Amino acid sequence: MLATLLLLTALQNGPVKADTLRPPVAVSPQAREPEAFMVQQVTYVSEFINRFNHQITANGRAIPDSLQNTDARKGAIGQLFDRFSSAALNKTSFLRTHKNEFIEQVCDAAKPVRLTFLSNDLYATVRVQTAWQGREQPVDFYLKSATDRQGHAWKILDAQAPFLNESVGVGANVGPAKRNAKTAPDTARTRGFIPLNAQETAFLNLYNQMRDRHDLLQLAVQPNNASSSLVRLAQLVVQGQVTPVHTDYPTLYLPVANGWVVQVNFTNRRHEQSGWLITDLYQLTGTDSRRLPAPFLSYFRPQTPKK
Amino acid sequence: MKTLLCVCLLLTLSSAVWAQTFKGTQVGNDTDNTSPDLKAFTERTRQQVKALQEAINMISSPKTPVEDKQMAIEQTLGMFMKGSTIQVSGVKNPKRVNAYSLNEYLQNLSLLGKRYKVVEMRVYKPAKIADFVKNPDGTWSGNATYFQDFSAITTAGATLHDRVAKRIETWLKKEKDAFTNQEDWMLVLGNISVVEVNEVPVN
Repeated sequence: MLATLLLLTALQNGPVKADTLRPPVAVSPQAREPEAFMVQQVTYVSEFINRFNHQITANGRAIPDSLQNTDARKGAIGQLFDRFSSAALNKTSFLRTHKNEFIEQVCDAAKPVRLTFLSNDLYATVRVQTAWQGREQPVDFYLKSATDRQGHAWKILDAQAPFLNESVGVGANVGPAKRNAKTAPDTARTRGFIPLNAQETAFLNLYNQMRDRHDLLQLAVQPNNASSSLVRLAQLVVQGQVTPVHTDYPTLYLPVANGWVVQVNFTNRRHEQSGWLITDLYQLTGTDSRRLPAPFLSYFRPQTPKK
Repeated sequence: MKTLLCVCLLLTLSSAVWAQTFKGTQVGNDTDNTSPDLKAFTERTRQQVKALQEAINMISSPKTPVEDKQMAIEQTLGMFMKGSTIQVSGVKNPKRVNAYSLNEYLQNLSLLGKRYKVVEMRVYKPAKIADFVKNPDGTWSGNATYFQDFSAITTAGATLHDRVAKRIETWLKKEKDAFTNQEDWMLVLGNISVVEVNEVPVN
């Protein structure tokens, strides 16, 4: 029986001359780089979304409709979870206990859930190290995507830092921050928006706006209804009292249907999965939503799945 | 001198091609008849990034004469939007990232020859280009990630070797062509961030 099987296999593979045999790759004496699928970086957020939607492979090739199936997509989404995030390494974390449930719901064959890059549903926090009264002070910005027929951009929802609360009242009667008239038009300095792909360059565009003492309120979602800390920061920036030192890579929050929110961060590794990966998972129902940044909560709401 | 000619030619060609008219095409729902040919500009981005990498190599090389370096710096600045910022990782602490104006960075780069007797920057992986996104002011912006292998020998004989991935903003905006007096889409480079830094062990 075994001999027949071997014979059949040999016949299927066709005749092989002894001198054409090659050693298996695994015992090749040459050092090999890790396989591409193991280290393929999710370079851009738009690429993350396309891979989440199972529209492209890890190599960036478009997946045709004929190859779309639920199990393949489940595997693809599984690869987008960072295996080394603190939530992934903690056995009792919400991410560890709910990851499978999340993937099952997102990949539900009857109601598959997809994300959209050019939408109003991207949220980001970014820390900008600033110089204030001779000390380095971090300011956390909360941003939201805003999109319409004119174009796409990030808008500031809020900015928070302990020193902004301490200094409230100092010069609080200063009027709205005004654009620095010294700057020439049509340069990187004076663009009155933060482009939607600014997360890819660590929001350096926001850094430039602060460096050039521009009015941050012009970049706010609601310039006339901004929080006191954002108004205060905008004043200090225009007055040149707060200057940026550098920006960190941001954290993104993407609301997914059924009340799920994924946290996405840029990771950097040479021999493992890297780039934009899911580092935490949240559900808006129940007490879990308390872990999310407060400025976003009023914008997140359970959505109905999109077909 | 030969290198300078090559780099200048690359940079000049880059500038010259900006002036070419790319006729509008329909791409997705986000473009109209007045939109730039995004596919053509994706290829242009690849060429621009290559030209930038050649220029950086030349500016940093101790072998390049000072006058040639200054010419290359001027040409390079012409490829960028005014006021662009570049992030640079520290030599002693690669995790520490500082931001500089592009001019300041290029000037610092040209002085590397004072500390190093050999500086070489080469490309170790092809650049990865992102899709362009339309901005509220009618311009378009995208990104390109490029990969640099930096190796140097200090004047004291120590060897440094690391690999850096950097990401650069790319902008498409309409500008009046000086020759045709018509408005055409042009590609301009913008801010540059550090994506990753990996020290390569020295044998």
